[in-house]
This record gives sequence, structure tokens and C-alpha cells, in this order.
Amino acid sequence: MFNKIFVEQELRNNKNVLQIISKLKKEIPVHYIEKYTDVFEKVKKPYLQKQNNLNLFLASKKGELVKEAPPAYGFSKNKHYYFFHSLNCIFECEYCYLQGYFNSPDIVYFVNYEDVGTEIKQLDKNASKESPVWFHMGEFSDSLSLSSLSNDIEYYFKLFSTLENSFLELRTKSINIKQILAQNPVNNIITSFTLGPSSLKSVEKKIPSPTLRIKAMRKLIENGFKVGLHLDPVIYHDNFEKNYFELIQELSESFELDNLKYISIGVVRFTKDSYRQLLQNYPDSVCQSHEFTTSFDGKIRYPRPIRLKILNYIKRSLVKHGAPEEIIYLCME
Amino acid sequence: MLLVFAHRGEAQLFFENHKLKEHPAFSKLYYNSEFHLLLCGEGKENSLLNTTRAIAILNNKINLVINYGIAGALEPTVPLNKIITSRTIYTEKESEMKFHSFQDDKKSKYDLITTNKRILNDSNIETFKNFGHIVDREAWAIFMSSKSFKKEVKSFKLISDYTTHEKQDFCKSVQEHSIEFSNKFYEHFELNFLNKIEKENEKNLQLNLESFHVTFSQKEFIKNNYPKISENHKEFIKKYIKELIGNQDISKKAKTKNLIIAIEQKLKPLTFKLQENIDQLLNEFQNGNIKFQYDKKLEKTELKLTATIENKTNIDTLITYLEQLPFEKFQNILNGEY
Repeated sequence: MFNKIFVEQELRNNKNVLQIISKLKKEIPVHYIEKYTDVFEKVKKPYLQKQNNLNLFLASKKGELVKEAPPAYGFSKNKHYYFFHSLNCIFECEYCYLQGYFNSPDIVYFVNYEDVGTEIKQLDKNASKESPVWFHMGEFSDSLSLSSLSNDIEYYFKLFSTLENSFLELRTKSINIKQILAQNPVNNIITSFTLGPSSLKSVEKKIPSPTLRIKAMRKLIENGFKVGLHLDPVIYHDNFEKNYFELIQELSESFELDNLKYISIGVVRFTKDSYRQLLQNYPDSVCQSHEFTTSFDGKIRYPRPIRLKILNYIKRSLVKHGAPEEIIYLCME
Repeated sequence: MLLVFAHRGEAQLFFENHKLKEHPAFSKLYYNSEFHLLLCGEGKENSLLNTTRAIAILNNKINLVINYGIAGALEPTVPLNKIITSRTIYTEKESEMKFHSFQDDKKSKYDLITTNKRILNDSNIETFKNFGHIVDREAWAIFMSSKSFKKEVKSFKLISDYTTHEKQDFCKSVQEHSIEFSNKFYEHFELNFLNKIEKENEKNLQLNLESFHVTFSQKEFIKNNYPKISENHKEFIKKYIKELIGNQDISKKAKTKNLIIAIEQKLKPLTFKLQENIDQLLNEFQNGNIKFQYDKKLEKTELKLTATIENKTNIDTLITYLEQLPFEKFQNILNGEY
């Protein structure tokens, strides 16, 4: 999976680093560097090099570890924060905004999750049961795709079982739920899965099929864990209505949709930079459209009538299949 | 096509096999009827300056720049004595790496670093290994220059040896093997480029717009958008142009307007259909004095009204129109209920 591993010099003997290295193939060369920024993003490394030249950086995150999320983020109207556990993703989705976000596709994995925990505890203290706060792991990376290498999931489950005013969202496209199943379920950690119909398989490379992800969702629900669903980004394509209807049908046949903590729906959107990257990296992608326009917030999207038609259709299909309307929210609209 | 070599020795076979004349405006530049050839000299400064000068002189005559040259390997995984392409081309800046890079061949496994000095004197060799697999002295600068002129550019590097601190006889070795290297470059060129005629925009059909009155911005629109539409739709547009040319009843300006509408319609069928629905909805309630405008990007749910009132009848008509205006239907379209 990785060509080289770069480790920050001061972490040479760090227990988390040693554990991660021990779980990776022995033949991957390990280089020790002063700090990860000496190499990561030092040069513009094209996004598509993730296909055959992906490096892993094991580093310690300095500075602000937990950041307040922008408005219209997340399910509830409470305060939302995201934190950095990793930068970049092992998966390759043609619509991914990360291709225009960092100047390198290499993965940076921050091993100082206890420091993140300290900041989370402080924010939890300032919140209340009436006005809880939400933390999101997975803004810049998939929350679970590399979780088998590290102990961070175990750490966060222990931490959040002691917090009364906080929720944690783990967001994933993987089926890597082993680490979660080994924990005791807690009500304030929600594992949310991002799904699209199997007709869009070519757009999401190296990702387990929707059927496998739905199975993983069912397994977590059956074991008492809280689960969320993101139908985001929705991509308009041939037979889009039929394909999304079938996906929702498959979901509802696997478990009652009212078991879900929330469902978000969002239509594909791009910043100008990430759209430029999409056109460069995947010129024939179904994710791009000549119909796109620059919308109210400067992002590139389908025109309003088209995206609202898409959102309304999916929302109606979800409700028809038993999803309570109050758990559905429209993302970034 | 412009071929760029650092040294004459590397281009030896090209001079032997083709009658290349010195360009009257630039003594490092040579040409014949098939291609141009530049001897840019060694290093980033020379190659940036001389490539830029050559392209500035040739500009419209070339679309493709090809750099052939020798490179050293930083890792033993790179095959020796073979011509390889580079995935990404990096360079250094003073004591660190320069951020700006260029993509060359996405399929290649090797990244190239254009260094500031000969690598055998370079203490940065360990740093370079963090970023790339091979090193040369010119490619990044040739890419910089070519890209700034929006020219397609490719680089082919023959790997002469593995680069180590101990290596002291690199230049001598390159000189001794120059015939052999040049032979390999020429074979590669003959196989891949010679006899292939450069075709400008060959994929794009040249539209015959002689019977049309086309403004600069309309020309830009057609130039940028016609190539984006599908092949089937291109056939439709070609037929439509013939129809328009044969139509004596409409002006040259109107022909252009119709052509642009047809291209837009093929490019954005959903948006076009929605605009058509809204236009139909509003047409009944517009006349010479009353005009509604809406956001053509379909983002805003508002209508703008312009009315000219010259007499009581105008006021009565306006009131009637506003009372009957199906504003809810308009909003429904904008809200995706159509």
C-alpha cells in the first residue's frame, strides 16, 4: 500500500509509531525526518500518484488540533467541531475535494491522539447536556480505513464513554469495523457510512461495494452501535432515479431505516480548485457536467432546480422506505 | 516540433541524418522542413533562457517541445541505458525543494529532479531521494518555458549511471558514450515522432462560419464549447450550419445567434429545457412595454420586472398581467418541482 514511511525524528521510539510500523510490511523503507512538513507538501505532488506512489507520514499534530466547523455542518443545530487524525485518504474517489485541497496525496497519520482528547475534554466541559457539541473525525481522511493499524478508535470509545455533553461522528466508506466491534457500544459515538449506488462503482476506486458497506452497517446496528448514513455526494447519471431507488430499497431490506441516527443527502459540489483537478485527473468522469453552474456560495454545482429535484426525489424515496422525515437533512443547501 | 538537447554530442545523429540549417535569428537553433532543434546548453539557467528564446522565435510554428537528455539514477530500481519518461518533474531552490512541479507521463513510475548543480558535488543527494528517482539538469526549466507558452512538452531521459557521491568521472563517461546515447535518442525519435505530422486541433472540426457574422466573444464561445459536445451532436450542428447557410431569410447575425443557441442546447439540455419552460410561462405576460427577467443560471427565485407606462391602458395591462402571473409555477420550477 505504501512506498515509503516517513517518521518524525522525535517519534522514533513512540509506542504508537512502533505499533503502526510493526503492522505494515517489513520491506517498506522507513526514513526519519525532522518534521513531516519537510517533505509533505514541500513540492506539488500530483494527486494521481496515489495510485502507485503513496507514502505514509507518521507525525505529531501541532497547533490547533480541534477546529470549529462552518455553519450548515452536521445534523443538529449544535456546535460542530472537526479534528485532525489524518490527512488524505487511501481511497480514490473522482469527486473527492481532497484532490484540490492538499498539494500531495500522501497520507499523514497523527499519532498524538491523546492531545486531541485533551482539547475535546475541555470543549465538553464548556458544553451542556441541553446544548451538546459534536466532533467529527474524518474531515480530511476516512475515519476507519487505517484504524486497524492504530489504537485510536479504542482510545476515543473510552474517552467518549466518560463525556456527557459530546457526540463523536466517525465517517467512513470502508467496512473496517473490527476495531469498533471490539468496544462497548456508547450512545454518543455514531459511525456514519457514505454510500452511492453500485452504478457509480467506477467513480469510487478501491472502495468496498455498497452491499458490503450496508452489511457492515447492519452488523454495527445489530451489536448496539449507533449508525448514520450519508447519501452524499449524489451524482446525476443515466438511470439515476432507478439506481438510487434500488440502493434505498437494499438499505431498507437490510435494516429498518429508523435505526439510523441521521441521514444526510447532498448533491455533488466542487470548489473551483477541486473542479479544475477533477477535469485534469478524470476528464471523462461522470461527476462532471456541462450543466454545472457557479452557485450561491461560489461552489460549482448543478443548477438549483436540478439539484432540488434530485434531493426531493431521494428524500421522498427514503421516507417511502420507512425513514423518519426528522432524521433527514439536506447537506450544504 | 522543437527538439531540445543540452549538448551537441547527444544530438549528433540528428545532425548526421538530417540537413539542419542554423536559424538566422539564433545560432543555437537549427531547422529543416520537419523539425527544429535547439542546443540549449547545460543547467537550468541556460535551458530556461535558450528554450524561451527559441519558442519566442518559433511560436506559431511549433506545438510540441521534446527534451532528450542524459539523467542519473538515485535508486538501483531505475533501469540503466534505457530511455524512460518521468511522472513528475521537480527542482530544487537554493537549499530546499521548489514547490512548483510539472506532470509529464502519468504512467511512468519515476519522478525526476532537475538539480542546480552536478549531483556529484551535491550534498542534497539524500534529500532528493525523498522526492524522486532520477536527476538531470534541464528538464524542469524546459517545461517551465514551454508551459508558459502553452506548448505541449515531453521529456525522455536516458539513464547513464547510478548517482553516488563517489562518482567523479561522470562527464568523461558521457562524452565517451555520446555516440551511443545519440543513437538511442535518434532511434526513439524515429520510432515515435518522425513522419508524424503535427495536426493542430485535429480532433476539432473546423466549422465553416463564412456566412455568419461572428463577434469576438461569440467566436470564443464557439471555439471553447463546440469541442465539448458529443460526436452525435457535432453531426447535428454540422447539418444545422448547412441549413442556416442555405436560409436566405435570416441575417448573418441571427444565424450566429441561432447557432450559439443550438450549441448551448446540446451542451446543457436540462438547463436549456428549464429555461424554455420558464420563457413559455412568462411570454404570455410580456409585451413591448412589460418585460420579466430571471436569473439565467437558475439560482435565484426572483423575477425582475421592467415596465414602461405611458398611459392608463399600460397601467391596466400591467395590473392584469401581474394578477394572472403564475408566479407559483415559476417558483416550483426553481424548487425542483417540475
